[in-house]
This record gives sequence, C-alpha cells and structure tokens, in this order.
Amino acid sequence: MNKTQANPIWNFLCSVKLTIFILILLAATSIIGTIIPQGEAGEEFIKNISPALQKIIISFHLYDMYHSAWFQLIIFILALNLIACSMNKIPGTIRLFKKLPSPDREKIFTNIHPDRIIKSRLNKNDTANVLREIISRHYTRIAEKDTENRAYFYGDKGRYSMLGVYLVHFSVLLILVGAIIGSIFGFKGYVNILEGESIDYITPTGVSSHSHIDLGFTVSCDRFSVEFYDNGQPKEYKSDIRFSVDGNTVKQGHLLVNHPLTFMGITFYQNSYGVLSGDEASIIVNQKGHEDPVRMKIIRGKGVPLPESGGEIILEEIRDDFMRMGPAVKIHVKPVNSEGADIWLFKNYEDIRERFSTEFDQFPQFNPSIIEPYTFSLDGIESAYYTGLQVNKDPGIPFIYAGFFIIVIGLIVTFFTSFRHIWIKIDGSGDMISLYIAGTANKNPVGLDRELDQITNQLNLKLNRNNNI
Amino acid sequence: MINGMILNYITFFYFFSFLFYLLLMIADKKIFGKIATIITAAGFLGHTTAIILRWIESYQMGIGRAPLSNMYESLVFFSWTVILLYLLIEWRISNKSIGVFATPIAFLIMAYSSFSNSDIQPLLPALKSNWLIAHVITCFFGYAAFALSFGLSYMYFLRGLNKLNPLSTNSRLSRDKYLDIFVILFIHVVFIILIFILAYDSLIKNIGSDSMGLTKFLSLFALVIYLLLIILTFLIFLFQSIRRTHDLNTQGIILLIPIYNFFILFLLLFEKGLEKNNKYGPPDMYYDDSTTSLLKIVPNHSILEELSYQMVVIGFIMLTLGIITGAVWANSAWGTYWSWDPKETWSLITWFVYAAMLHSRLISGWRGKRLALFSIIGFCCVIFTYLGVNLLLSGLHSYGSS
Repeated sequence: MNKTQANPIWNFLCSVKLTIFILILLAATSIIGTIIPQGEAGEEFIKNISPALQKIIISFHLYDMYHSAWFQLIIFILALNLIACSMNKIPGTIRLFKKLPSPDREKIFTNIHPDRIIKSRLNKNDTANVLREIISRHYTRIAEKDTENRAYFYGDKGRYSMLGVYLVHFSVLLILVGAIIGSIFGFKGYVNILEGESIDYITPTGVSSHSHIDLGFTVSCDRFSVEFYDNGQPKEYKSDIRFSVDGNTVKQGHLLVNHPLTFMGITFYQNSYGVLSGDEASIIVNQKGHEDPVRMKIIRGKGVPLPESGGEIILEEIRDDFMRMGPAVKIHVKPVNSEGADIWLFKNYEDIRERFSTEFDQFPQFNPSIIEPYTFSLDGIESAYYTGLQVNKDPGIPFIYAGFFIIVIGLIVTFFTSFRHIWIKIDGSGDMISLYIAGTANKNPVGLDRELDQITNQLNLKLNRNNNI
Repeated sequence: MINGMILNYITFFYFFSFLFYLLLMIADKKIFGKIATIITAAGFLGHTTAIILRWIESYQMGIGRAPLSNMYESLVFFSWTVILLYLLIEWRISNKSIGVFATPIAFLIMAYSSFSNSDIQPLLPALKSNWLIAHVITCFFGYAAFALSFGLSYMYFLRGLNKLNPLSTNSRLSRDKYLDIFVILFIHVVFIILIFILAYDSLIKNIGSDSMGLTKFLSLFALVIYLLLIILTFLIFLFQSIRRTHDLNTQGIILLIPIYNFFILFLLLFEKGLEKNNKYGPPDMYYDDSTTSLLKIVPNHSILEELSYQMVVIGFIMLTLGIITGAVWANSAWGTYWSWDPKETWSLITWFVYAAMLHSRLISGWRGKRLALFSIIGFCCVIFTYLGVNLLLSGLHSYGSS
C-alpha cells in the first residue's frame, strides 16, 4: 500500500478530482456530436462546409466522434480511474466492514445535545438489561464493555451500505465491457426477405464492401402483413418467420416491432417493409372493331402472342413508380408485318394523361394506341411484400443488462441505506444513573437523528415507567 | 374529451395556488398558506383524475394506451410529477415557501401544454411497449426532482442576497455577492430565453388557427403578461444596479423576476419594514434568521442544501432508470440499446453532470454555493434534453416536434 501511495501516477489515477474532471469533459465533448451530424449524415454534412472547418472536423473525427479514438480514450481513462479508485479504497472498506468498533469511547459523548442525556430510575444492572434489549432490537451487531461505575454499549447496522458504491462502479465497468464485447464479437446487418422466400445470409451495415455474413441456417418469411388504424396510421407490422437448419424447421414465430425473435444467438427485428415488383404484369388489350377487351398476362423477357394476328408482346421493364406517376411497364409490341415500338403503359393512365397532356403528345412511346388497331392499358403489376429485418448478434447484451440491474441496486444501496453506529454510556451509581446516547452515520444525518430520538424515547419510557404512574 | 376540459381548469388552479403562495410570502399569514395548499391539492386530485380519465377514454376509443406518449401528454405528466413531489416536500418539511417556485413551474408547463395537440392518437408500432411507459414515468420523475432541486438552489442564492441590503454593508460588494448576482441574473436570462422560445413556438403554431379556444387564448395572454413583467422587472433591476439607488427594494424585485407576478406594484407599495433590518449580527452566509419579511419563511441554508441534494439523488436514480428503460426499449424495437441520438446523448450529458455533482459532494465534500451552482447547470441540461433537443436538434424522439 505504502509503495503505491507514493506513486504520483497512481495517486493521480485514484483522485476524485480526475473523476469529476473526466465526467465534465465527457459531458462537454459529447455536446459536439449532437450538433454536428454523425455517421452517414455527417459525411454528407462535411462536403458542404468551408475547407478550414472541414479540416478540423476530419482531423478530430468529429463526423463520427463517439467512435473516435480520442473519445474512447476519455472513456478508457474514466474506466482506469474507476478501477484505481476502487482498488485504492477496497482494503480500507473491508477493514471497516470487519472491524467492530470499541464500545468504550468518551470523545463521542462530548457536545451531545442535552436531550440525548436521560436519567434512569433503575439500578445499573437493570438499566443495562433494558438497554441491551432495545439496542438488539434496532441493531445487528452489538458490543458492550463494563467498568466499575460505567457501562458502554455499541450497536451498528447497515454495513452493506458501504458496498453500494462499488456495485455502481462495477456495473459501469460491466456495461463498458458489454459494449466492447458487442463491438468485437457482434455484428449488425439487415436483410430483406420476399414473402414466401428464404435467405441464409445477411448484409452487414456500415461496411462499404458488398460482403455477406452466412447465418448457418435458413430464414423464411411465410407471410407479411400490415394493419392500419382507421386514420391510415400503421398499427402493426407482422412477419411470420420460420428458422430451419438443413431443411428442417426448428423454430417459427411472429415477428413484430418491439417483439424480436432470437435464433442461435442472432436476433431479428422487424424494421421495415416494402413492395417488390415481380416479373409479371397483366395488361388489357382493346382492338378496334372488337367489343370485348382481352386481358392477358405477360412475363418479363418472354414473347407473348398478340391476339388474333401474329406478332408478339414482350415485357421489357417494370417500375413500381415511374417518375412519380405510379406503376408502369414498358412493353415492346412487334406486329408481324409492320415495325415494332416500345410503349410505356401506366396504371393511372387517365389521370396522368390529363396532367401531362403536352408532354404525352410529344412522345410516341407514351401513346398506347400507336400500333393500330390495338390500344393497350396496364391492369396491374404482380407484386409481393418484402419484410425488412434488422439482424444483430450482440453477445455483450447479457453484460449490459446485468450492468443495468446492478447499477440500480447499487444506487439504491448507496443512497437509501446508511451505516449507522450508536454508542450509549451508562454512568453513575445508585439513584444517580444517567445514559448518554450518541451516534454516527455515513449518510443521512437527519434519519440518524430521528432514529436516536426514537431510541431515546423508548429508553425513557422503559427506564422511567414507574415514575409516570 | 372531458379530460381536456378538466386539465384546462387545472392550469388555472395552479395559477391561483401560486398567487396564494405569493401572498403567504408577502403577508406571512397562515391562512394564505392553507388556502394555497388546499388549492394545490385539489388541483392535483383533478389532475390525477383527468389523466386516469384520459386513459379510460383511449380504451373507449378502441386505441387503449397509457396517456404518456406525445408532447401534450408528457407535459401534463411532467407538471403532475412536479406537483406531486412538491406536495411531498411540503408535507415532510412543513414549509410552504417552496410552493412559490413549484406551482408556477407546474402552471407554465400546463399553459404550454394547451398549445400542443391534445387528441388521443393511436400509437405507432414502435411505441407499443411497456418499456415506453416505464421510460416516460421514470424520466419525468427525474426531471421533476431536478426542477425542484433547481428551485431550491435558486432560493439558496436568494438567501445569500440578504447581504445586499444597503444598510448593512456600507459600500462595496464583495466577490461573493457578485457571484450571487451573476447566478441569479443568469437564471433569469435562461428563464426569459426559454419562455420566449416557448411563447414564440406556441404563437407560431396557433395564431390564426381554428383551434384557438378561449383557454388557449387566456394561457397565451398570461404568457405574454409574464414576459412583459419579466422584462420590466429586469429593467428595473438593471436600472437600480447602474444607478446604485436603493430606494426600491432590491430583494423583493429579484425574488419576483422569475416567478411571474402581477403583484410587483402591490409589493413595492405595501411591503413594509424591509430595510430597517440587518442591523444585528454579521451578514454571514449561514446566517439563519432571515431578516427580511419576504425571505422570512424561506428555510435556512442547510435545509435548502440538504433538500436540494435529496432531490438530486432522487432525480439521478430516476434518470438512470429512465436511460436504462429507454435503452432496453430501443434494443427491443430497433436492435440497438444505444445509438448516440441527440436526445440520448443529452440525457447522458445530464447524467454526467449530476454524477460529477454527487461525487463532488460525497467525496470531495463540496457544499454550499458550488453545489447549488452545479444543480443549476444540471437543470439547464435537463431543460435542453427535454425541450432544446426537440426544438433545435433532430433525432429519434421526434414526437416533440408534432
């Protein structure tokens, strides 16, 4: 101990001044990251500012400062400080924890309040018995010492209160360890699964290269559904997910927002959804001179014969939303004996035509009747829901949650319990017996005062009961 | 929407209880204190009922959710926690002087809430979580405890101003007094800026809109009057400091700046015997027997300090729980327990500041003004976490902007 105490570096690491300084420093530097956009938004942000500022931001890594080396160094110093402080103080605490203070103290009774001195009608021995009973009712550890005309009693409780602060500090370290474990051994990624399909790999986030992470099992989305409230706000997203290994279904369940599913240490979260166009569309073909329009299915890249005459239609492109005009497909129509043409068909043709009449007249590819005698219109695109899943593996989570649990326990122990000591001296002989009551506590002096008042009253009642009758 | 109506009336309950607390401070008649407590308690009961009714109503609408999930509801709940904690303190220490700081905070929050959208809206999927309820309750209890600690620290500094009395000190102000004046002015400036932001925000949103009801109009009117009075009292104070005239009662005015009051003239006219004091004893910092009648019922320094510290302890534990429940919720909703979102970061900054404060008191043994100053800085962080982030920065907690 003496050796380490002499070490200035160790002393520096142990000091509370350092703790306060680091805490304030963390608070102050953290502000920067809430003002400068972080991550991807941060990279966008620095493109549009003056070069001088850009230089500062880049050199201090301010566009992603919470992951920068200097910020993590501050956290590291805080951790060192925590460890050093605890190591420095634990031996002393253990000594205090084990030691039973001596009952015969005189100094503690100097300057006590006159209310804390009471007379006893009983003799010394009986007084001591009453006292012993009351003290043992309130305190867990008791010691006493008898001298010729004095008797000393000591009691204490709440020794564990001293350990609360170590719990808090330990839990902070535990949370940091959990975060480190998570960042080393874990990953974050995402995957989109089309309704009815399966995947066995995911794409990691934050990695620029198009790498994949193999899951080692298969995830299938059997069904995806969205529910809405009456006002159109989304109410619930639900994916029916099935996990299988080597073709055998091992686990299945509903995946909802706020209700993730975990399989083999990897957790899946409902994150987003979308509609993906398939390879098919259905179109309606009107033919001059024919009453009934013909509805037909067309498949991307495959020629489908035109009704009656020869020739064919090929579906070339499918767009969910073509230039903000809604679903559209591009078809190539090739009659047998004339030149073919590309035509864009819109789902909402009538509306769009009204809005963009001039543009539409200029471009023949927007005219659905350009190939005589046909008029084409788009009935619908075959589409499917896909569910967007966030996929995480974070082995640090148990540490983090354990840290959360312990920090709460530690704070409650630290602030709401106290280590209280009481000393009582019986002095005098014969009829002139007085009791002196004193106490100390490591916290909450008001609570201690109240307890001493209570004990004084109880003693007064017992020792002077006969007096009152 | 019976709950909305009740809450509108509650706003004015808190206003009137504030007036009675103020009367108590000025006149020091017990009856005012009793009336103030009764009004506050009645308001609190109504407030509680309204929150429960709102909860029931949401079930009747088929939405069924706890009334804790948009800006309006959070403000209503915040104000509720302030009054709850205040009533607990009043009961525990049998001193009503803190009411003059607590009730206007509750009133202002309620008045501001009447400008937010009070419809019961259905919850987005991400908000459907029990962790959300735990998160909101713990966070706002923490905020309310910090708010009260702030009020107590502010009173701590006010008490220091006893020494400002021109009759007791003959010429120069000591460095200590400059600190007092600086801190109090700083608080006022922060308050004024905050109220300006809030008033501006509400004005922009509401003027000309159809939803401008009578209560909203009255609340707005009260806010504007408040602003004018603050500016007026501030100017008077400034004028006094520059001219060094002492024929006006400095303490009285400073006390009244942050809590708005329509009684400033009343005070100046009727407050008697303020300046004949302070001839006994040295103007000690721990001079317990306050000698001006205005500050007479304010508890002494050590009680203020102890209470302020206890509030910080409660607030710190609640904030810790709030951050934890928020992290657990985020982990179940988005798969990240911590994403350095501005709101998260600011709550962590607040946590750091209060953690530093607790260390400085428990280990380094800081007491008095330094600690009170810490509490004030901490509360500035709280305000920024709650309102500043929503108004100025953007992030996951976007509910505040609607």
